[in-house]
Amino acid sequence: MLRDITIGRYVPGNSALHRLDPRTKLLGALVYSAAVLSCSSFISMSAAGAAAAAAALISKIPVSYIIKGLKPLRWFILFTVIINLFCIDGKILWHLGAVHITYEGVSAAALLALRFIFFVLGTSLLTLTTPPIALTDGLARLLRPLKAVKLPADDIAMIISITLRFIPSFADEAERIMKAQKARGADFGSGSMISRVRSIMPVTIPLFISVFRRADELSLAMDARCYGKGVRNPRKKFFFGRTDAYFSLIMIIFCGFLAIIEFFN
Amino acid sequence: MIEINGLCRSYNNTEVLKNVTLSFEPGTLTAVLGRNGSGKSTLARHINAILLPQRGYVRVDRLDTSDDSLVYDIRERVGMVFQNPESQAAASIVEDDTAFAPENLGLDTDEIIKRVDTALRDAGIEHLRKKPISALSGGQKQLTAVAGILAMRPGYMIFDEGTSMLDPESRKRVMDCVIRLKNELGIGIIWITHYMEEAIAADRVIIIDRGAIKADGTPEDVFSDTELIADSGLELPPSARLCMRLIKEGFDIPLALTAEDCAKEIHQLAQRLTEEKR
Repeated sequence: MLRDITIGRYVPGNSALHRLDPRTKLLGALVYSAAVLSCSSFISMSAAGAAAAAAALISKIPVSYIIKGLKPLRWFILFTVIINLFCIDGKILWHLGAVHITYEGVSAAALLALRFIFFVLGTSLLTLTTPPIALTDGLARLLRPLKAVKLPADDIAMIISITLRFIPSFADEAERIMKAQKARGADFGSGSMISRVRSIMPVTIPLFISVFRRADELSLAMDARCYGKGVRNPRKKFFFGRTDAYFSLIMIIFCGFLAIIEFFN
Repeated sequence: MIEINGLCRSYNNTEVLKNVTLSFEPGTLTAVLGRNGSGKSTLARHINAILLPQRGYVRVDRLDTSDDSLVYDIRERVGMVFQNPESQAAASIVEDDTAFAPENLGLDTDEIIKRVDTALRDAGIEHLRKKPISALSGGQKQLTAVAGILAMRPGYMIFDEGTSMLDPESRKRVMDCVIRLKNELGIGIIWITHYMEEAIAADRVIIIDRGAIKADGTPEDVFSDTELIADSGLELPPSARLCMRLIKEGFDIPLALTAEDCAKEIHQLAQRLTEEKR
């Protein structure tokens, strides 16, 4: 299941989305996330969904692979849906004793589930189509003005990019540790919820040890390759081209459309 | 030239390096051997200015590692490849990772592109340049790390057990690449290893034990001292072990280090024995 995590993975390609300037994609993902989180009607949420679907198709990454990224979150989404479904008051749709489901509860639960799904899809598409190093350099460029207030923009960009890159690596590592423990009789799949949570605890200690060891090794390897000498000069020059202009225009229209819907809602 | 003089290092009152004095020339392959915890990696990290001497000095092409302002010049001259091929990549695509060091050096774009092309060709992985590193084998990942160092155009390269996590075929591929780099580019190689058969290919073998230099010479000289090898917690290469066994059994055979030399010596021994029988 952990192998299904797609956020942080990069799938090489040559689609229009892959070719976009990383700064355009970073800002696009930020604007899209803010838009999705502020959608409060099904019409605006459908528009956000259509935008995510269009971006997924343009990226030419198999849709099944992108959707696979939602699999590890299914229990979390289900849990929040259930909470919303049973805890929001309003016009009763169904009830059994003290337990009831309202029209408002169904609507809020569905909106919340869609919000999570589109948010994860949008941010996954950013990392799936942008090499981590381009993400670092793009982020560093965007944060550069903050250097005026002594913010270590390059280091922050590198930290964010490495964190994103290592999410799938650590998911793989956790999977390996779990398999090794299963081979020695550990049982992660049965028993009560509490015993399942308890069975995960022995995985966390070796995982944390591995994380710290990997972090130490990577920092040594980066030091050995002169990281920190001065301002990095990215090999790939950033260029705000025609595709970036089209993409920005589409994002502006998309945000304007959502704002109008939300205004009249 | 790398000069190490009177280098000392201790952790929590335990001496890890004791008055180490050594030098390394460009264009030579030096194997550094020693049991776990003998101080090999600590020595390597001093040469690369990752660790600074507590006593003594380390100079790379006359640049003192203790001088803070020279740290990046030294790291540019002495590249280091680490043990774990999984943890060295800063980027996810081979050519992006190769470009990481020249980008850090702030070189201009044309120079970075030129260096990436040359480094990938010298490491023999030009065909992998667009591949995601996660899709490569252990040996290919380690060659990617080699390319990442070569892009700095170093005069020396340290391999800190760079083949210990690889299968025999990948080990051979990395070793062949290293020997080519030494012969064709004149890079000085410091090869820290546990594999005696790799040490045989070196021009010079150094044994470190408990932080002190126990032996320094040609592979033939160092491996002929079998007592020292055993005292240092090491084993002779397989061919040499076979020769030693034959010598113990009373056969007149010299110590051969490589499988080819060993086969030749045994063949000659068999011929001599057959003639004696006649």
